[in-house]
Amino acid sequence: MNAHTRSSSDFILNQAVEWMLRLEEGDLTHSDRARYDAWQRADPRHAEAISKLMQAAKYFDVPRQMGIETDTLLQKLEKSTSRRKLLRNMAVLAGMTAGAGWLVHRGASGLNLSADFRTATGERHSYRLPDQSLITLNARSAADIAFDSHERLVRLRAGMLIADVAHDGQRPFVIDTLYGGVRALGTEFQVRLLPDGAEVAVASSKVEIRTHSGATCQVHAGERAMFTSHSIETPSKTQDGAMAWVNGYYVALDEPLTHVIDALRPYRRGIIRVDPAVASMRVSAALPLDDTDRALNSLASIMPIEIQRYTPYWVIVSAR
Amino acid sequence: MTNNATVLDTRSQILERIFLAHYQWLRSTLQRRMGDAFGAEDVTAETFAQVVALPHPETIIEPRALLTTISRRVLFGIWRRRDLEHACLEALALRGRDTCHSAEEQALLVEAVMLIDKVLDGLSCKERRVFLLYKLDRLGYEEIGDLIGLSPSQVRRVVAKGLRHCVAAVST
Repeated sequence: MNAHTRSSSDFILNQAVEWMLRLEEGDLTHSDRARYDAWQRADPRHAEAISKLMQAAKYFDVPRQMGIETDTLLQKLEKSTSRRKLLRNMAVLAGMTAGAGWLVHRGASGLNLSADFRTATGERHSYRLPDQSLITLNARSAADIAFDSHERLVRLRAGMLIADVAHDGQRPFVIDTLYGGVRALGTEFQVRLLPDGAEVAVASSKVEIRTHSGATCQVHAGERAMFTSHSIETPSKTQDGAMAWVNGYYVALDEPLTHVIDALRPYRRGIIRVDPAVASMRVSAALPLDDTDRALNSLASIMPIEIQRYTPYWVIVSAR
Repeated sequence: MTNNATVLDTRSQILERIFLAHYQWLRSTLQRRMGDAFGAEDVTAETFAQVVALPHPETIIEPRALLTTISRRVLFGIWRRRDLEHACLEALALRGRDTCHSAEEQALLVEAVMLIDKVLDGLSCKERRVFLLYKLDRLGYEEIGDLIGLSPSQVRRVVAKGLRHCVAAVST
């Protein structure tokens, strides 16, 4: 009996899916339409299956209706969530603790998520802060400021920024991120949010990183370091040109192609997909950020890759 | 009637025994691993809630192995949700300068993305791409086929599979 119910519900599901596809393909004739209506009326389970499909379709429409860039979401959603990955995640559970703290922290701040400063695709912008410090946001970046009598706090919410810090003996200047804070002990430095950590590069003087788990490390002029909620990489020398984006250029020195493409993404509407087969190819180049088509073309001219422009919003980078 | 009552009683006794024997163990194991008492408490509670929902607790042979497996799944769910929430917040924060978003909008987006993720669960990488191209980017079978290297009819089959997952995801 059970097996029978199960197989008939599978049968209904397949029929419903077939009708849904036909409906979306939009080539139903009048008689098809009549058959569909009759099928739907024939059994309440038929109508139920169709209504579930419609319900799910609504969820898929939400991101577009909200008018948001789905790039980041797509990247996350495309990643499979296999058990193996789960086990790897278990190994870095320390990160979860800090994450939980962050969520609570967010909740406490009233979930006011419209950032104070925000740049759109392809836009860089400098802001003079009340203390005369200057922050420059790269494209597709967002930050909040929270200055009080003890501290000058800037929360980097997305993307990257360069801070040129004005001296104030009383109030430390801190760039806070999901993973931890970076405290200025001098003047100019850059903080960039990455999918699984943040990167600091220091142009002059030094900064101190303090992760959410309490680890600290100083990074000096000419050095860079990645950090996550619970660990800080040993600082290494920065590349010349790490901050060239301020002037509209991205300078890559022997970097994997995916890093370079990631740097172009904020300057381009739509989606750039990189074929895994070419993702880790190394590249050295100086690329114009304000003309990403030219940047992609020059990559194609120096590497064995092909740029397929499916629509202006849809670009695929693959092997030639 | 009496029979039923006996079964219920046995069931709750079994669950109680499991709870008493392993709750502290699971909590302290998780706490040691996570380094966070608050989070460990939550994960432990959710894990036991799932054990209570199991149809036949009397068949549990290795409670600790089962609890470990379930708690991993719970943790993974939390981890994934946080990941997606973060991506949603980032996407919302990046929207045009002139638009603000409300807490409701944010909740709706997170809910939608969690459902989409559930639909995609169990699809291969390639199938995920196909289905997202179809649903989010609204491309046709042929266009998707050209991008992914499949025939239009293969694409249609993958889309059908995705739709079947949709029904399952909305049902639970």
